[in-house]
Amino acid sequence: MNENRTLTPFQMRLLFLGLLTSICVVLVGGRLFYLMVTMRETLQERAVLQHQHTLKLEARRGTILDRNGRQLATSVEVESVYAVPKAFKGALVTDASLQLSTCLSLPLSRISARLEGDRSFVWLERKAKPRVVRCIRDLNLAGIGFLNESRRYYPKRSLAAHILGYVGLDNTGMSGVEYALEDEIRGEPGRRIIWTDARNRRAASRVDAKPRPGRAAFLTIDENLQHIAESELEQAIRESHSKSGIAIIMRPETGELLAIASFPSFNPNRYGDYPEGHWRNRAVTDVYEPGSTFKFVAAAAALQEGVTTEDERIDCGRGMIRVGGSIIRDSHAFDVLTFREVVEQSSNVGMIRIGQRLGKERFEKYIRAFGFGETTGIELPAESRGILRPSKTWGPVTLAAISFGQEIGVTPLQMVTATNVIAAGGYLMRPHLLLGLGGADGSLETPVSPEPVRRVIDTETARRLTDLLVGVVERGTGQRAKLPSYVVAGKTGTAQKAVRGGYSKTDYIASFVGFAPAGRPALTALVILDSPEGDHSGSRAAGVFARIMRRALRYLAVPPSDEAPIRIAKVWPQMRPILGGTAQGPARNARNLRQQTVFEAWTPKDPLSDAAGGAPDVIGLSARDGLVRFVARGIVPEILGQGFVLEQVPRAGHALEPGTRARLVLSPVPVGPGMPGLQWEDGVTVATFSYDGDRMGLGRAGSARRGSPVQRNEITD
Amino acid sequence: MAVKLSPDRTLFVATVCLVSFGLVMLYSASAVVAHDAHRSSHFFLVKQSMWACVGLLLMLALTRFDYRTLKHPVVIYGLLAAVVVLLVGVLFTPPLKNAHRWIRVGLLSFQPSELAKLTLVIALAYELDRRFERLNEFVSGWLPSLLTTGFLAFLVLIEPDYSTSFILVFISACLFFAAGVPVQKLAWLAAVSGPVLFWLVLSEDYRRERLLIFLDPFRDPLGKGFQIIQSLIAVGSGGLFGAGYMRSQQKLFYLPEPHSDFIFAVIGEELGLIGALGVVAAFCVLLWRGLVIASRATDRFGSLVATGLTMLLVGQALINIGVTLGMLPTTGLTLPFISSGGTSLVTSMIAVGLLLSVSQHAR
Repeated sequence: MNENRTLTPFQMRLLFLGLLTSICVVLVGGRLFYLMVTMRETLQERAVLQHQHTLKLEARRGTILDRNGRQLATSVEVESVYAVPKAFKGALVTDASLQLSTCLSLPLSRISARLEGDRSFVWLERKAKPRVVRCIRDLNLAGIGFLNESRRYYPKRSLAAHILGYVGLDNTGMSGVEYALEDEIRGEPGRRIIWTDARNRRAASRVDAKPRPGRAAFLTIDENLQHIAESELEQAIRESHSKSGIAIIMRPETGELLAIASFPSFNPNRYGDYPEGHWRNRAVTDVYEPGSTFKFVAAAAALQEGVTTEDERIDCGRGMIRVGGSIIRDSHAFDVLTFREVVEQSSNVGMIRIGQRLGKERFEKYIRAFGFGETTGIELPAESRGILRPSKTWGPVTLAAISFGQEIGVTPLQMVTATNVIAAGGYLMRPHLLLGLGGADGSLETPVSPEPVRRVIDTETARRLTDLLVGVVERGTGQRAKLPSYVVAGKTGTAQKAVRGGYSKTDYIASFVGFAPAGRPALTALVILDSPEGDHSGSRAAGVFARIMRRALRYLAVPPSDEAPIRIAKVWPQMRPILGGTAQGPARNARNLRQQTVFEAWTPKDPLSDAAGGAPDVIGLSARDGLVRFVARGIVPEILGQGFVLEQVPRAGHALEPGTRARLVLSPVPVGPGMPGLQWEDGVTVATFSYDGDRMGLGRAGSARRGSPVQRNEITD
Repeated sequence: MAVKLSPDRTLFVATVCLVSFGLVMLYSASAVVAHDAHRSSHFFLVKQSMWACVGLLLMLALTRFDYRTLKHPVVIYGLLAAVVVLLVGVLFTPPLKNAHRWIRVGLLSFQPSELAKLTLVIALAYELDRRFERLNEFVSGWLPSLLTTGFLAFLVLIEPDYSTSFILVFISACLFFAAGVPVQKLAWLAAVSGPVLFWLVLSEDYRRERLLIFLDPFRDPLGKGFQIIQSLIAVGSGGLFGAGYMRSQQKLFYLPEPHSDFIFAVIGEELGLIGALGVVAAFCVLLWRGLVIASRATDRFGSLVATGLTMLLVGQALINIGVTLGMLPTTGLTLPFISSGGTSLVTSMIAVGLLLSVSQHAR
C-alpha cells in the first residue's frame, strides 16, 4: 500500500475489481446457503427418490397340516430364471437361444425373441423345475440370472384339494383355506432397500425389514379319513357314472370336519390344467334340494313339540294327498303307518301330515334352528346360505313340500351339520376346519375351541330321533348302510333334480346322511351322488356311506357297538378338554373321549428335517410315511406286513449309510410308544395318552392300574 | 532496483492446500467413473498426482524466475506465435466429443487453449504497459490488444470452446479496465459488441436452449435440465456437514463429469456447506493475495500480469461454481486446482508461480 495512504488510480481500479468479484463471491455464498439449508429437504427427497429402490421380500407362507401334523400344503424355495437381453448381441443371441431352448424345452424362436432388444430384464421361466435350473446354470451364460421365489407345493396332489384351494402366481390364496386363512398364513413381507447408480446397477443394499413368515395352519382334517372318503366317493362315482359327488365326515361332539371329499377334483399344483368347475368346493358353494334326508327335521320338531309319538298311527292316504289343489304322491302306496314307519319307509304323505300339524311358523323355527338358511361360518370362502324363504310366504304346497325336503335349498355342509345335532345330543355344533394355528416352533399354539351354536332339541328328543334313524337303517330305506359290528343311524334321500319348470324325471340326487355308532356317535357323515345312472335311490348312497364308515371306524379303532364299555379310544390331538364341560348333552356323548390331559407341545415332523445322518424314527408311523423318511435318506427299506411300523432296523439314530439294509416290520394296528399312563376316573374308563409326533397313542383301558406306567408296545387288557 | 523479497507465503500455502484438497476430492469423485472406464479406481488420481508434481516443480521454478525476463518482444511474440500455431494445429486433430481441443503426444494430451489464457495475460500486460500513455486513444492505444484478444478468442471459438473464449474476453476486459482504458470507451465497446454476440449465441436453437435452461431446469428434467438438476440435488442433499467423504451418491453416474466440471457438486454433497464455503474461501484468499501482489508490484507490467492471472483463476473458479449451483448456463470450464485435467492444473500452478515471482520482486 501507499505509504501516504492515498491510493493510486491503478490501486483504485484494482480495489474496484476486487469489490466486484467479492460481490460475486457473496452471491455464490448466498446461493450455497439457499441450496444447502433452505432447499435441503426438497433436494434430499429427490435424491432418495432416485437413489433408493425398495424390493419386496416375500414372506414364507405358512404350512397347512392335517390334524396329525402331516403336510398338506407347503412352500418350497424355487428359482426363477431371467435374462438381461442387453448382454446378448448378434450371434450370441442365436447361440444362447439354442442352448436355452434345449434346457427349457421351448421353441428356439420364442427364446430368441425374448433375448433380442435392449431391455435389461426379462423372465425366461418363473418357478422353474430344479432340473431346468441346473441345466441353465451349467451353461454358464453371462446375462442369465436366477432369483429365489417361493412356490406353493401340495405334496399329496389332489388330496383335499377343495379344502386347501390353491394360490396364484404371486402366492396369494385364491380359494379354499388358502384364501380363507390368507391373513394368518401369508406372513408379513419384508423390505430390502437397494441403492442404485444412474445406470440402474445395484450399488449397495440393506434389509430394512425382515419378512415375517406366515403361521402354520392345522386343519381338523385327518389325511387318512380324507383319503378314505375321496377314494370311496370316486369309486362310487365311477361305478354309477354320476356327474359329481360329495362325502363329508364330521366329528359329532366338536363339529370338526374330518374329511370333505368333492368330485370332480383337481390337482392344486396344476390347477390351471383343470376346468374352473373342478376348483369349486361343492360342499359349501352348491345348493341342492335335500329330499327325504330332510325329513328328520320335521320329525325332530314333531317329537320335540309333542305333536306326535313314535307309535301314533298316521293315515297315509294310500300314497296320495291333496294339498291346496294339487296331489302329492308317494312312490309306494301306504295305507296307515306308525310315525316310526313313516320315517323308516320315508312316506311323503305321512311327513306332510306331520308338517301340517306343526304349522308354518313352528316348522320354520326348527328349520332355522338346525342351521338352514344361514351360513355355518366354516373357514372356507364362498359359502352359500342356501334357499329358505320366510314362512310368511309359504303356501300350503310349500309347507307340504318342505316337509319332505323340496322347495328348500341347502348346502351339503348345512345338511351334515344339521344331522350332527342328533349325534351331538341336541346341540348344533359350528362346523370347523381349523384346528388351530402354529407357533414359531411349528407346534399347535392357538387351538380353536369347539363352539356349540345353540341347543336345538333336548337330549331325550335326540335319543328318540336316533332310535328312529336306526330303524331306517335296520328296517327301512337305508338298509344298505348297515355295518356288521356297528349300529348305524341315518336317512336316505332320493330327490328329483329341479329343472326348469318342475322336476327332472331322469336326474336324481341320491344321498344318505347319518352317524355311527348310534349309541355313542364317533362320526357323522353325508354322501351325495349327483345323477347316478341305474339305481338312483338314496339307498345307493347308503352303500357308499357304509363303505366309508366301515373303513373310517376301523381306522379310528372305534369299538364295536356290542362291546361296552369302551375298550379302545383313539386319542385326538386336542389341546383342551372337549367343550370344557359347558354343555351337558354333547359331553355325555363325548364321554368316551373325555380327556383331562393337556397334551405336550407337539412338533410335527418334516420327513426331510429329522436329524441328518442317522436312521429316522418311524415307529408308529404308517408304512408309507416310514418309507418316505427312509427314501429321503437314499435307503429303500424292506417292508414286512402291512399297516403301521412296529419295529425298524436300524434303530432310530443309528448309522444309515448308502447300502445299509433296512427293514420295517408292520402291524395292522398302530402301536405307539411312550404312553405315560392310563387313569381311572370315577368308574368311567378314560384313557389318556400323550401325543408324540404324528404317531397315535393307543391302548386298551381296563386292566392298567391307575398311574401305572404302560410299556412300549405293551397291550394292556 | 527492487530488492529481492521472499515470495508470498499465504498464496503459496493456499495453493498447495487447494491442490492437495483437490487430489483428495478427485479420488472420491473419480473412483467409480475411473473404475468404470479404465478398470482402475485410481486412474485419475495417479494422472492428476503426476501433473500436480510437474506443476509444483514449475511453480517453484517460476518463483525463482524473474518475470521481467518475459518483458521482451521476442519472448512475447514468440509465445503468441507458438500459441497461434498450436491453436490452428489443434483444429486438424481428430475430434474428441465433437471438438478439436486436445493435442495428443503419445500418452499425454494437452489443451492449447489453456496455454492461450496465460499467453494472453502476458501479451496484453506487455502491450498495455508499452502503450500506457496512449490508452485514451483507440487505434494507437488499445486496438492492437483488442485485436490480439479477438484473434485468440476466435481461434478458440472455432474449436469450438465457447467458455474458454469467453474467459479470454473476460480477462482482457479486466486488464483493459485495470490498465486504465477509460470506462466510457469500454462501455461503448460493450454496447456495440454485446448485441452482436448476443445474437450470435441466440441464433442457434440448441445454444439458446442450453443458455436458458438454467433459468428453469425443471422444464425438461430428464433432458436438457438433467445435468443442472443432478448438480442441484447433489449440492442440496449435502446439507450443513455433508454425507461424508466418499459417500456421494450423485457421483454414481447421476452427475455428468463428477471428477471434472461438476467436482464442486461432489464436494458439496460430501462435505456440506462447510466444505463448499471452505473452497470458496480459498479462492477468496487467492483473490486477496493476487490483488495485493498486483498493487505492490514494482512495475506496471508486473501489476498487470498479476491482475490478469488473479482474475483468470478466481473468475474461472466463480464461473465453474456458478454453473454447478445453477446460477450460470452450463459451460465446460474446470475448477482450477481441483478438477481433473493435467493442462488445467499445470497452467493454474504456472499462473501462481508467476504471481509468486511478481510478489518476490515487489517493493
